[in-house]
Amino acid sequence: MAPSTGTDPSISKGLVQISTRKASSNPGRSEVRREEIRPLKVHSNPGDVRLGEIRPFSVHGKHYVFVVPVTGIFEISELAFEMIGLFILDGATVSEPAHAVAISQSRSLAAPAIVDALRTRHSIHSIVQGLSELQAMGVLLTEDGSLFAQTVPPLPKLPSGSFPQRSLVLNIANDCNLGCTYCFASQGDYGAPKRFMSQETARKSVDFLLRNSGDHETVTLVFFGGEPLMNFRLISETVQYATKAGQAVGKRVDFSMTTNATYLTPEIIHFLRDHRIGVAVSIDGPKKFHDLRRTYKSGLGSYDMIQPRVMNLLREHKTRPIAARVTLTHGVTAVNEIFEHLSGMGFDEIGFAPVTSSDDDDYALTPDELWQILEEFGELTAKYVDGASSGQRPGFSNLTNLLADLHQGVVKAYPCGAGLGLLGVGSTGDLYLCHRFLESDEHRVGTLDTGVDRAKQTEFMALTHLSAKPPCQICWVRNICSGGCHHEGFKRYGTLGHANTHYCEWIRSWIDMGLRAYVEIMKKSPAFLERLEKGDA
Amino acid sequence: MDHLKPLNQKAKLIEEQSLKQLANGQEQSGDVRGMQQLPLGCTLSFDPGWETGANGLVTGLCHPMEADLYGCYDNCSWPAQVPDQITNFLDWTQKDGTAGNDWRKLDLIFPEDKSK
Repeated sequence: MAPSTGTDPSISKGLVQISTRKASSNPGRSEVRREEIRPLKVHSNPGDVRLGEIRPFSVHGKHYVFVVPVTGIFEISELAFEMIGLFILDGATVSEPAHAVAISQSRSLAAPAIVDALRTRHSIHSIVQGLSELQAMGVLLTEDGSLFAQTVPPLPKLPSGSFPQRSLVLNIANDCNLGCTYCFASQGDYGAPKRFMSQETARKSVDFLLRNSGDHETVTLVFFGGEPLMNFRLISETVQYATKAGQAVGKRVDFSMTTNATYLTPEIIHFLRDHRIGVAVSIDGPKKFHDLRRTYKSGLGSYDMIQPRVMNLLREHKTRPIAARVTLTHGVTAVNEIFEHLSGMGFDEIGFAPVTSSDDDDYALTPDELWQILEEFGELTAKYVDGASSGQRPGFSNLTNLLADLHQGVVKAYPCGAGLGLLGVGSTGDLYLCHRFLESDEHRVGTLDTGVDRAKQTEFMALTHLSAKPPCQICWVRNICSGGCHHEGFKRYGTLGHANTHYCEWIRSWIDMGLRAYVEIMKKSPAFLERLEKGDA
Repeated sequence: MDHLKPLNQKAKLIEEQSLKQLANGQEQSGDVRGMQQLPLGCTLSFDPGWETGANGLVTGLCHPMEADLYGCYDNCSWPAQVPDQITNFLDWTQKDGTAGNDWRKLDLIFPEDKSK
């Protein structure tokens, strides 16, 4: 029986509804869709039941629901699935990966109408029980006559105190021996004069980090550049200084480094091993991909130079997992081939980052390529699920990170710790929002000597809080994505605090993929997720 | 629950919370929301500002915790162990300026024994 209290969408107002404009009939492979937001009015009777902000989905015949405001994931019964279906308006396509939220295309119903609609197939007792359970978990809500539930809490008052510092990223060499064409640091120097960080500045950074680390027992110092190994002497002195300084105040200092691997001599590798320094190598896969854009300034590819050094590193350095960081650019989208190559070399973790660019850069990924990457991610995800189910530790770090977020059920107001617990330190001791904003006057938030400029930090926090990003308010992945990387948004839109709307649908599709992988792994191998919980998957 | 099985940690928390409420005979709150993590645990909509910061400390509160005194004093009909402003102790806070700094100046109150 069709429920009689359905809402006619034409009289709806006051809700916010997303509409996506498709560029072609082939969703997913076409141009990234732009989104428009338009208001709707909802007609409802107090006491009726409506959908909470949820995303229902099914995997292998089992039904699930993702509760958006809290990032809760539930498996639901057939009856619960049918019940949710009653609320969704005809023609709504909640199963489409990129669909924003079910509530914008749903109606509210009186309880008797729900019972009527289901009683031919289910006992009244179980219908009533299902209804009450769905309400208890926030999947269904009682209509209170209000408009659309407030989706994102407003910007909280910003405290005047400081945030404990957890990580500092040190630009110890504002110079690089390579000339990678896609580098966000303008071939290593961020467009600023080439210089090395002095030992004094590095020590000050260590002191600053320890002094401002609040209750954190472990803090992280990241050696960054440019190419940090151009200033290896500073690394070796700083590691020793920081270890001692940490011991003096009862804290552990962790070290890590991102390098292009060209300077990895046996001595350096032994040092990295002996001091448990985490290493991420920038490498774009096999030679044919790597040499496309990771070149010396002469244009000569760097693969042949780094390959033996990387192999040596992987063989010798076993005290920390070694990660490969792959930048995906125009023409470099064969994720599975690259993954095979790098895991064959022996990398423990492999992470992929689609390049940050504006559309007119020659290395920019085309929309088709972005979807191609997602398809490749899908393939790799399927292998990951199989691997995880048979007790392996698949090294696809993009997915591992996402699964960890989903498992915990994170609700993020900011996409990352930039400007808060994490800061970048320029080669002369200025503090920046993060390593990507190094040497940018506009994004300087203090100095090691004077500390963090709280007014600037507060301004940054207000500007970039999730509640300040209108397109995010109705999106079902907002509490996980939080609008995406500040730096990418800045590059694309020229301003801080703009959500990365150019890849919304892509991110939603990716998180949808992760959600499906999550419930599959949960079915086959919950122990894997428990390990993830402890951070050792 | 027969119709929902919590899978992730957050879902389990919500179920626990809800079962606890049921056991205590409390009504379910209809709209469940997550507290946002990192870096601010603070709210403007409550006075007193009882929510602790994300790091579990009171320093991040939107009000100093001493402000609770006033939260329960002025315009609050909730029975609390502070003098009430509405009927009995209209000028209890006259001597001090800000709660965080001047709470020591507040007087102890000894209600009159009306049986005498």
